[in-house]
Amino acid sequence: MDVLKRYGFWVGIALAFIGLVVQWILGVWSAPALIPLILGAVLTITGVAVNWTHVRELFKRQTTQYGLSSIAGVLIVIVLLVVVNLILSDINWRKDTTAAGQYSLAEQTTKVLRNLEEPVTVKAFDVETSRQFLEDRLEAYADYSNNFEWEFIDPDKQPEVAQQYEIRSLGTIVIESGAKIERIDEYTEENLTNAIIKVTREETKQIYFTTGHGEHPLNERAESGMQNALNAIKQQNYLANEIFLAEQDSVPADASVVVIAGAETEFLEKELTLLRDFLLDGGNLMFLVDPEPKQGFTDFLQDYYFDIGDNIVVDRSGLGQLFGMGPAAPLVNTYTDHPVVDGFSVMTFFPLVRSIEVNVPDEASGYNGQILASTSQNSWGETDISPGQQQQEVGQDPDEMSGPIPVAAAMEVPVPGGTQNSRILVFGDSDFATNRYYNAQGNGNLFMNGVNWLLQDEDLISVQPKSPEDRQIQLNQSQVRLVLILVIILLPVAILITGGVVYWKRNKS
Amino acid sequence: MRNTWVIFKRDLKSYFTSPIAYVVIALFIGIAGIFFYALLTRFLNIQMQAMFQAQQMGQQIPINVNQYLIRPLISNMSIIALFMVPMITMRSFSEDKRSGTMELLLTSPLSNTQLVMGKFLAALTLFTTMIGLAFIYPVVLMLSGNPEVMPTIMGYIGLFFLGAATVSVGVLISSLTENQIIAAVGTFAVMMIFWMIGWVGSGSGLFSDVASYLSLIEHIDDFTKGVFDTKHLVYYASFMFLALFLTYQSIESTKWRG
Repeated sequence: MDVLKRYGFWVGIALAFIGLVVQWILGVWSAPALIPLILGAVLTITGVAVNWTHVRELFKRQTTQYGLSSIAGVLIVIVLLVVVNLILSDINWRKDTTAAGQYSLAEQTTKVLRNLEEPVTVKAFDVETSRQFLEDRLEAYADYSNNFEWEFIDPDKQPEVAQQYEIRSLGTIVIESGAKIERIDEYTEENLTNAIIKVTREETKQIYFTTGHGEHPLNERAESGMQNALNAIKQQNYLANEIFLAEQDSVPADASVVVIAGAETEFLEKELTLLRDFLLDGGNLMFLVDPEPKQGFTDFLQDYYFDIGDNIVVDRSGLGQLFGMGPAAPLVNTYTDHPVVDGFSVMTFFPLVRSIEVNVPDEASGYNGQILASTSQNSWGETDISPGQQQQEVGQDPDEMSGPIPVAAAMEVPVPGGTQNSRILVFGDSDFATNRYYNAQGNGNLFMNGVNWLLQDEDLISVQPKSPEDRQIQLNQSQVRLVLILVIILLPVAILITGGVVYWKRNKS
Repeated sequence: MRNTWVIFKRDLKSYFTSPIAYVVIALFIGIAGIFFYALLTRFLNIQMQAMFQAQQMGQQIPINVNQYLIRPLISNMSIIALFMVPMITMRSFSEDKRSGTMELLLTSPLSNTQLVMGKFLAALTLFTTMIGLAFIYPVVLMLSGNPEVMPTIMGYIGLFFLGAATVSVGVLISSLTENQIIAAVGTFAVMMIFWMIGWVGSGSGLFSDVASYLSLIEHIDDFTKGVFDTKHLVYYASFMFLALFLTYQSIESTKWRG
C-alpha cells in the first residue's frame, strides 16, 4: 500500500507513456499498446486518489499556484505568438533589393496572380537538388495569391504520383485548375504564368480542320491521320474540330485558326471565299500543301504573295538515307529568325515537298512575309515529276531551282480597320504532321510552333528571364595575398591585442 | 529605463574586461576570415573560367559577386555564430548566480523585465560588435569591385536577427543554471534543434510546413538573397519575445521559490 502510495502515480504515468509509444511504433491500437495505457491510466488515477489529501494540500500551496499560473502565462503567450505569425505570414510586405530584380516576378505575372479567382495547384517534378531553385521561385508566386498552391515532388520518392501524371522528364511542371490541366517542360516565368492563364480562362481557342477534299482525317490514329497533332493541340488547352466549309455560310465565329491539311481535290470557289472573308475578319490560316497532283492552292496563295513551287525538292546529300528515306525526303535544318522557328535547333523532314517562297512587292503595305526553313545546299527543285523518275538517278536541270530551297513560309496580312493582322502559314508538305511522321525529329514541335504563332493568343504574356547583374571583382595575386594577411591574421590578432591591453590595464589598477 | 541601463552598462563592462569576449570575437573573425578567403579565391576562379568560356562561345555569362561570394559567406557566418554566441551568453546569468550577486539583484528594486532586458541588450551589443567587425569583408569587395550594396546589407541584417535570436536563447538557458558549461552546451543544443528542424520539413503537408517555418535558417535565406520580407522579422521577433518571456518567468520562479 505504501509502495502504491509513493510510486503508483509515477509508474502509472510512465506506463501510459509507454503505451502511447508502442501505439506510435506499431501504428495500431493493439494489445501491446492498450494494456500499458489502460494499466497506466488506472495506476495514475489510483495514485492520485490514494494521495488525495496530499494532493489537495499541494494545490493550496502558493508555490504550486505560482507555478501553474506561470505555465498558463507561457501557454497563452505561445498561442498569441502562433496566431500573430499565422496572420502576418499571410499579410506580409516583401521587397527584392537585387539590382536585376531576379527574385521578383514581372508585373504581368503579379497581375495574373492577384486576379486569380479559382484555385490553381502546381506540381513540380524534379530531383532534390533543384528543390531550392524551384522553391525560391514558386514561393514568390504563392506569395501573391491564396489560390495558388504548389508542391515539390521527387519522382523517385513518389513514383505513383509521377506515373499518375505521366511524367517523362525531370523539370516537368503540371498546372491544374478545375478540369483543365497544362504542363510545361521546365520552369520559366513566362511558361508558368501562361499555363496559369490557360487553365483559368473561360473561353478556349478553336482550331478547325477542313474536310471533304481528301485531307488527312483529324480524329484518325492510322498513319495518315492527325491524331498526334490533335492530342498536342488539346494538351495545350485548345480545341480542334473538323469542318466542312461547303456547308457553312461562314467560318464559325469562334474559330481562331483554320487548317487545310493536305487537300487532294480542289476547293469550291465558295469555300475559298469563306477563307478570304475569314482572313479579312482577322482569322488565321495554315496550309499544308503537297506537290502535284495534290492541291497547292497556288492561285489563292498568290493573292497573298506566296510563290508555290511547281516542283518536288530532291536532296542529293544522302541525308535522307540516314533515316531510311530516299532523295525525295530532304532533311531541313536551316531556319530563319522568324518567331515560329527562332532558336529551333532540331532537324525536320518533309517526305515529298514543294518549294514555298514569298515575294512581297513594295507597294503592298502592311504585308510581312518571311521564309521559315530551307533544305540543304545539295538540293534542287525537280520539275519533272513523272512517277518513274523518283526511283532512278535524277539530275538537276539548268533551269531548276538550286538549294538551299525554302519549304515553309509565313505571311502577315493586314486587316482593314483592325489593329492586329491575319496570319498565313504555308508548308510545302502535309505528311510531316501526320501520325506517321509527327514524332520524327522536330516535326511535331514545328507544327505546334506554327499553330501557336497563328493563334496569336493575346492573353498570353512574354517575359524575359532575369539573370543577376554582372558584378565582378578585380584583384591580382599580391592583392589577394594582402587580403589573406589582413583578414585571417591581422584583424584577429588586433582583437586579441586589444583584449590583452584591456586585461593588463585592469590588472595594473 | 534607467535601471535597465545600469544593468546593461554593468554587464557590458564585465564582457569587455574579461578575456573571453575577445577570444570569442577573434575566433569568429578568424574562422570567418578563412571562409572569406576561400570563397574569394574560388570566386576569382569562377570569374576566370567564365572569361574563357566567353571567349570560346562569344557570350558573356554574368557573374555576380553577391550570388557566389557574399551569399555563401553570410550563410557560413551564421553557422559560426551558432557556435560562438553560446560562449558569449553562457556567463549572462550564470556568473551572477555563481558569485552570489544574483540574490542582490533579485532583492533590489530592479524589476525582472529590466534585469532581463539589460542583460540581453549587453550580450546583443557584444554580438553586434562581432558582426560589425565582419563588415570588413564587404569593404574589401567594394574596394576591388562593385558588389550590390542593398542585398549585402540585407544579408547582414538577417545575420543580425539570427544572432539576436541565438542571444535570447543563450540568456534564457543561462538563467536556468549556474554552470556556464551547461549553459553554453544547452544553448547550442536548443539552437541545433531549431536548425535541424528544417530538414525534417522536406516534403509536403501540414507537418513539414510547420517544421520548416520553425527553422532558423529558413528565415535567413531570403535575407541572404537580398530579399526583405516582414514575415521573417515577425518570426525572429516572436522567437526573441518567447525566449525572453521564458527568461522572465524563470527569474520570477526563482524569486518565489525562495
